[in-house]
Amino acid sequence: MADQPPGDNQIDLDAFRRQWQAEVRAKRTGKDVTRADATSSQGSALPESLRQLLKGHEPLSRREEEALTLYIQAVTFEQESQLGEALNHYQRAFKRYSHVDELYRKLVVPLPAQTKATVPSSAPTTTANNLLPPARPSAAPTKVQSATRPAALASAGATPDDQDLAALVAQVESASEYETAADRDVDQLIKQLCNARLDTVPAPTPASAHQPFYFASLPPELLLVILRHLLTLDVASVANFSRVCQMFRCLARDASLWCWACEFVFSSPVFADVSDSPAATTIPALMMNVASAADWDILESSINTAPSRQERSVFKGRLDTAKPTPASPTITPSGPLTATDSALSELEPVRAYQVRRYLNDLATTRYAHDWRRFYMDRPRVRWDGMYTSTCCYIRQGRTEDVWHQPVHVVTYFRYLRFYRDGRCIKYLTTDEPRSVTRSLHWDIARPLKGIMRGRYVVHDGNRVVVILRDPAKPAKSFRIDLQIKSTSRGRHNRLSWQRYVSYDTARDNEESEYALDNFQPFYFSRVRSYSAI
Amino acid sequence: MSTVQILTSDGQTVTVDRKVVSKAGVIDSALASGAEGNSPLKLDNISASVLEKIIEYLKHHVDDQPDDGEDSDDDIDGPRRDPIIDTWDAKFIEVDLELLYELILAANYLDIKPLLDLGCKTVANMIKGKTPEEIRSHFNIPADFTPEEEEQIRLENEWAEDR
Repeated sequence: MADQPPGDNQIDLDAFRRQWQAEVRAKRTGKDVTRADATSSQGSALPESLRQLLKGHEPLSRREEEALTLYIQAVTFEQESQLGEALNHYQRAFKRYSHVDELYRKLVVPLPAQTKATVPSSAPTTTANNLLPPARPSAAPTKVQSATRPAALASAGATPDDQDLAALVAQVESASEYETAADRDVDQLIKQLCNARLDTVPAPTPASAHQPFYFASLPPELLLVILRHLLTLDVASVANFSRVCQMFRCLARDASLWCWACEFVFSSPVFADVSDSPAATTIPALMMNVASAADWDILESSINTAPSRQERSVFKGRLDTAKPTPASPTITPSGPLTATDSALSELEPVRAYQVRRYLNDLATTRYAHDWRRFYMDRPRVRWDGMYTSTCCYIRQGRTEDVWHQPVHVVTYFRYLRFYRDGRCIKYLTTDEPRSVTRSLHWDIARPLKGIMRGRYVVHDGNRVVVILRDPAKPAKSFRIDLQIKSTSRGRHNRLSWQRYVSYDTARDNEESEYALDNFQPFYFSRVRSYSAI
Repeated sequence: MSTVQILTSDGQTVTVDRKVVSKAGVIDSALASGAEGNSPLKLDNISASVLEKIIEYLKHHVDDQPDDGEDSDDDIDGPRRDPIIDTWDAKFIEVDLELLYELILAANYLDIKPLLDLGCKTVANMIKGKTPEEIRSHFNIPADFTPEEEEQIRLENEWAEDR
């Protein structure tokens, strides 16, 4: 029943098999060989170490010693999946000394307190093999598990209820201990890797002995603070930073840096996926399901007001709009206040916790905890530039001349610029990008035709909903559905049109959809003067 | 208004307002734990010139909201504008690299977060937009990559570049 040993344990297994056979043979000859078998057949590792262990303690009686030896063998058998053998040994051990498990725990496994209460120490009398579910983790058994495993077996003789309970507890215990052990391993490994990498990389030495050399001898943690600031200014500069020297490359790949970056980006209220409440009362939720006039009222109130700090907090949900906003709220979803702190420190604790949990889950499940990859791969709207959609059409010119047919090639542009706090601005013009970049900001001074201001949210990973209002047409509202895509030039730098609808509030929210034939996708272009994050 | 005496690394004793100097987390906790007495507070790795500069900074920010961490409301007004540095701060931090470096270290040592941020932000601004070669020559750092490594690093950073 237990003859499915894992292949890599074959050698150990053979050893035990021989040992067991020897034991059986000895039994046939009618001798009580337990003691002998403890010293001879098992003589290699266990008794020696056992004796070592027992040195510090009061000497055990012969019975106790035998029981303990059997118990240890049983544990080993159990680790080899030979449950029948294991049970056999446990039984014999408990027959010799009924409190052998306590002895074992006290002497062999110097472990923190176990949940002893749930583990009855009575000797097992029945063969309750099936009681033991394969709670064993797939990895090679560790010392930590061996402590709980016997507990599970020891419980075999208890009343059915207790059995179930004990088995369950043991199962949970071993599972959780496995996890913590694994976690510890992973943590240690990560630490080792990190340390090794920064350690193995030589700190740069000055290029020229005549010039001062301060900067590169800053401690790494301060260089990381500088990098965080650099990241908020310009991601490409971080790339350049990593190309300076070995040590800087390590720093620029530091997980904490990218984790901070992810938290900073995705804690923005525009990411509806991260948003805390799926309730339809939050503005992002409203924006995704704009349908009724009532929705519009709430949206309008937030869109029409000036971009004040109070208004920014609107995005955090209905709760905030309901309570009177203090004159100068200390919490603002604005720029990076301190790069020395967590990127989430600007949020309320509850939301910070939610965001962190969401991001951690996502990082673990999707990006193998690689925060840099997370930052690179996760679709997002970029704030450090503008999106341009170029349209071109040909119009027949008028002429008296039959031989000469002039045509006008008309090019016009749609520009979109997004902000971290959920605002966005759209500009429809024939002006070339070069002349627009400078003036395209929220407080654009000239009352330009073709300017629309509004809000946007990113939902379902890569979908963007933009709600816009045109000051020239106060009764109308526009909704654009876009999809974030990548091009060969870069990541997440294309927004393709999915839907473009206008609502007329004057006519009972009449909905009219535009045909998208002439709408070219938006392409992103970096604008140096816009902040990166 | 009580004052505090501080002994700097170069053996000078500087007398400062207690209110001003307690903005620095380390000094504050040192004073709180009753380390004042009659003997001056000893700061082993901060020279008088750097301390003077730091006190200048602390004096200017002495009335800032304590909970603000940084005078956030004035310093950074949302992402509407580029991350800017307050004009006084900008002027304050216009120092040579050596002093800037010392200020960053001292701010870190004394636990003055806004100043640490200011210093680091300033360095970040210096690096921004520079090519690797420019960064190297600005900060006097040699390249230690083999050509293969260089190529590899270029590839792994390709994503960040907007072509």
